[in-house]
Amino acid sequence: MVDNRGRVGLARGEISGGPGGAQHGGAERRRRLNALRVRAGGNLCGRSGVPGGGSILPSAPMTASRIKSLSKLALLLGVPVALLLGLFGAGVHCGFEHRAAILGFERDWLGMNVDVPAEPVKSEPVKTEPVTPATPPAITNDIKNKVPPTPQPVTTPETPPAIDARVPPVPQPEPTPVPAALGVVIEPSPVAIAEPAALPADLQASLAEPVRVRVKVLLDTELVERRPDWIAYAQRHVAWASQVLERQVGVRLELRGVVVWPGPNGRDSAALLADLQNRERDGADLLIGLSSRSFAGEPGLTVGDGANLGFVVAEANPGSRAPHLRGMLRAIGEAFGAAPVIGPGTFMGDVLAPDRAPIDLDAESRRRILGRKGLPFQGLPDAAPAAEEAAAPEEAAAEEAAAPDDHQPHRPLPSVKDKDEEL
Amino acid sequence: MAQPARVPANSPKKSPDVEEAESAAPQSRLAWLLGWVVTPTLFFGGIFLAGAYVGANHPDGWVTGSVRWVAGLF
Repeated sequence: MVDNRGRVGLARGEISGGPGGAQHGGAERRRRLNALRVRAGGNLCGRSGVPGGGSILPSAPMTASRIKSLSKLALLLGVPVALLLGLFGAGVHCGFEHRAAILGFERDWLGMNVDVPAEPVKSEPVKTEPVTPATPPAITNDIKNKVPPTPQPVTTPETPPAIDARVPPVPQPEPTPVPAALGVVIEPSPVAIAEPAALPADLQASLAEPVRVRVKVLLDTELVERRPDWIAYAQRHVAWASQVLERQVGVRLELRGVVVWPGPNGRDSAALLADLQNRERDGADLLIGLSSRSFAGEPGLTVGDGANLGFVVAEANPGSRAPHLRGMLRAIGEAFGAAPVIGPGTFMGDVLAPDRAPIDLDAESRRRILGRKGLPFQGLPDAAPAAEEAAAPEEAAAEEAAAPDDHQPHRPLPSVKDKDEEL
Repeated sequence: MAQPARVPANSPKKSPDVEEAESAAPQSRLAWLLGWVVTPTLFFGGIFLAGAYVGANHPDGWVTGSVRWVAGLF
């Protein structure tokens, strides 16, 4: 009897021989078994018919089943892997297509030090005022142990006319967008800037008169710790504020230095201003202290008639993509004598505006700034060393008492033009 | 020889307390949300965000180049 696997066994009726004829019966049995094996091998092997069973080539049903199994395995493992790879690839594609937005999010919200790809630079009209190249500002670092020395910042870019032989030729900006370097800010403001309204004829001339204000920015320690790119942060804000002021009032900001501002964390506005006025200027007209305090809308110092304020504090709008932009503009407006405005609609307002509201300036503040932008900036008393800080308020009070009664709380310094000659 | 009666393997004996607890506590909605919504979202979202990070921060890498090549076929 042959089963389906070719095993041969005794069928019914195939009875082995008795003991008497054991040898004969055994031989007969072996012969029958061999015959059955041959028959079984031939049935299974089909065409091969090799005696004794066994074949070299696999049969068709065995190959098909094996292929089917392998296909099932490939689908079972391959489809999930392909889906995951496809999801990852979709992310890569989306990340590449929206590089600017993602890198801007990483820089502004996550505080990562990344270079945001620049937008195509708009060609701005070349100013006719002869501009000497700014000397590299000296970055002083009051906390030398905590903050390492950083590269020197450069002001907003411009293409000065190659008229003055002393001015080295400045290469034209490349038409293709390039990653923004540390010293050059060419990216536009993240907050929309409203188009300035038309001015009456008497103010048109004042708007056309370009005024350059050298600023030095001080950032408090909390801001420096939160922003690893604190120098670039200050540069960006000064550049954006300069864009707004150039459109509205024809004032251009020139960054002279960025330093850490130790000590003022958590104090009120008056204490911040009092601390700021003792800081060195390093050749700047205006000191701007960037505080990590949230914007409170409090009015600053009273400005005199003969000079603009020499130091202001800018507070933050934490929810904005440019947290200190509106605060900086408001502080600079106060420095130029613009009064705080109640309500939104202008950066001189006393309320926080969302980013969707474009940056604008009310007519009265604009008129005030245009009328005072040619005035010099108030000076600072000589920088008092740390040991004499306790005596400084008393000395200042004595000086104010001895000084003639005028409306200026500080001694006026030489004009901006005289300072240029000195430098 | 008679074999002692054995408890069937597919019906383990449970304590009365456990049976009560199992019958009284149906599957909570929070557990369903965590298992079927939050975890898959985090898993697949994390993969997508990883790809976005690679695409944004390494635009010149071979991964981004390969993906762009494949995307360019369509």
